[in-house]
Amino acid sequence: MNRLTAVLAVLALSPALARAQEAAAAPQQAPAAQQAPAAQQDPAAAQGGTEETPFDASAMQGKVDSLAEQYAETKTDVANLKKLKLSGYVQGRYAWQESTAADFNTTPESAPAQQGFFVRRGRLKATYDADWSLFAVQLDATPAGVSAKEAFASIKLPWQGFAVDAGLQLFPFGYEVGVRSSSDLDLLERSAVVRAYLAGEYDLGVALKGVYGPLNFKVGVFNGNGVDAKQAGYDNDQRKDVIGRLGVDLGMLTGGVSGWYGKTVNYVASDDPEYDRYRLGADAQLYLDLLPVGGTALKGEYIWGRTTLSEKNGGAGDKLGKTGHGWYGLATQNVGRFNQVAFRYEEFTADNSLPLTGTNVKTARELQAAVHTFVGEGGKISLAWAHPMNGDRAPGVSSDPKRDQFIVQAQAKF
Amino acid sequence: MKRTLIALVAAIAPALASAAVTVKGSDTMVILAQRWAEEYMKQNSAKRVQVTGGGSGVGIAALINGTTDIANASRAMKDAEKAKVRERYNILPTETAVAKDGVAIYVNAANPVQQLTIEQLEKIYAGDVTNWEDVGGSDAPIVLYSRENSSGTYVFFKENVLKGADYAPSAQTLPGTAAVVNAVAKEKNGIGYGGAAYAKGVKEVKVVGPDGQGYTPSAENVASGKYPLSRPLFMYTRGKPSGEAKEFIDFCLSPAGQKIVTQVGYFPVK
Repeated sequence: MNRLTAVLAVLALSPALARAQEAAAAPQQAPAAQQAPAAQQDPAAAQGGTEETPFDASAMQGKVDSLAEQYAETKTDVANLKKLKLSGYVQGRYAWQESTAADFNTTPESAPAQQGFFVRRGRLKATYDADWSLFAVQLDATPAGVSAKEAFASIKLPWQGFAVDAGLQLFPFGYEVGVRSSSDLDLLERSAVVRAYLAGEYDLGVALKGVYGPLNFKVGVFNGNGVDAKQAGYDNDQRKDVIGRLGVDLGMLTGGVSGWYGKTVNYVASDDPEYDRYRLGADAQLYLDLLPVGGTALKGEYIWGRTTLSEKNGGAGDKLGKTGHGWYGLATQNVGRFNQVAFRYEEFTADNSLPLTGTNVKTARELQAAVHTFVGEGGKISLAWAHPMNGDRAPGVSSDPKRDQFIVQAQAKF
Repeated sequence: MKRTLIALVAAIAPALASAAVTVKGSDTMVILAQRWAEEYMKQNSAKRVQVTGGGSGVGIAALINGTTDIANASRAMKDAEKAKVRERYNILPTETAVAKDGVAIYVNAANPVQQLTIEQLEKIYAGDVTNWEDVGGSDAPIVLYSRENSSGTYVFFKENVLKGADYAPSAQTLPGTAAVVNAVAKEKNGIGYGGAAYAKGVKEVKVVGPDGQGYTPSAENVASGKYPLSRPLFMYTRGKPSGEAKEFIDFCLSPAGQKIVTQVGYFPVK
């Protein structure tokens, strides 16, 4: 059998080998064939004679000057192009969840009922960093449609690190929204309390930001409804919210405190009631170089708030005037240069006053784990598991809502 | 089964033994790092060190995306770069100063200018002074040579001489310090800057310090800090150096490694 295979292989390869030998011989013949006509056209050259051309220094100088001028123009063009930066990433996912109940950890519009493939994020961002200003636009393209996530103009101030951002930008609140990019999340989704009080992550407004030593801050005035509210980009309540974060960076330890003060109006109700929209938050991150396998990070965030962001009630939000709170704690461990494991535990109470009657679940709890493998410069493959649990609940309600979820995600970033 | 395991170990062992420490970054440090690597591998025949340049920015980017073990940099890492390492690896980069350098100002050997102040250099590279006559030379246009913006020397010069302002558009960017030296050696009206170790075939002008005296980037002047354009040269690692990367850095800081620093034309830190 092996002998037969070898014979067949030789027979199959022999024409290709013959062609290769011909090709190898051809270059040796070609120069002679090409030299003959040249010698016919230039008898002096054929006889080995040479004819000197007088050197025109001024003409040469002119050519050099011309090239120098073109070089300077090209260099200016290239320098301007370098100010334009494109970046982006795509997150392709397969998700499976235990039941077809409402999704807990994905975008309902694009996630399947129980399992399937979808694009979680498809971001493309362009920035042009000029001397005194910065232009930024970020689009999110998924099968659900294309939407603007960021579109702001940044005017730099004379003090180093200070600028004013005007337009569609991130809420300057907390760590998971104000600091951490969606492409670098330790778990694949933000925590429940963040998704409730900072839904959509982006809003329209104007904000002042700055850095002073280890301190950094961003504070601004925003519409307050977020881009996920009804009629995205429209200030449903016509009242402005003040939102800001003061952060500190001490190297191994970072953190911040955040605040949000605003109002919202439920125009769907007959008497147009007004509600407080408040949040207070604190976050901290500790980075440790203790284990030989890689760095360890411990992170936590707490948010207290009133009135969650939602398209409900005409875009006024949900849990109107109700006070709630939530927190998470997570640990991330690098394993070697290319692997990372993360665990998070979180709790969220949307309404502190909810009675434990009927089928009510007051506090949602969740345990999550993720394994990330980084591939080359911008690739990342992630495997994540989420296990939601019913915390404080009415008698008779199970502690397991049967909404476990498994996600496999491939991310490419540039 | 046992045979399969032995064969597998035999196949993997050479690959493990030859896993190289990768060093990438500053062009200013390429010659120095190559000399270190040669000597280190001579003393440790089983070890391999791969050295490539590209500029400090390129080395730091490689450290962030995990494609190098050590980043050579002729400038300090920016806070934003440190934050990227921290966010990706949960640890801060560790900075190790391995040598000192004086950024030399090169002019053509025939140029009569002997010294320049920082202010004069700033005006020359900003394009405000375009004739050598304005800084004590002969009546001739100044031809500017610079480095690419991925170079740590480019950033150091921009921050310390141009005070953060942009280079004149007429400045010609060249891909390495050797290319700058070569261009200045050929162009009689040229001026360039780069590591002191590269100044062969060109003249180093003195740079005037705060005391009004002109200083060359000599060992004594760089060590004392009198030369105004002195700077440390760094090796960066993700977290504390460990394993073979640590062994290589320890060698660079050893008496043998620091002797190479002097031989190449830079200045030891120990």
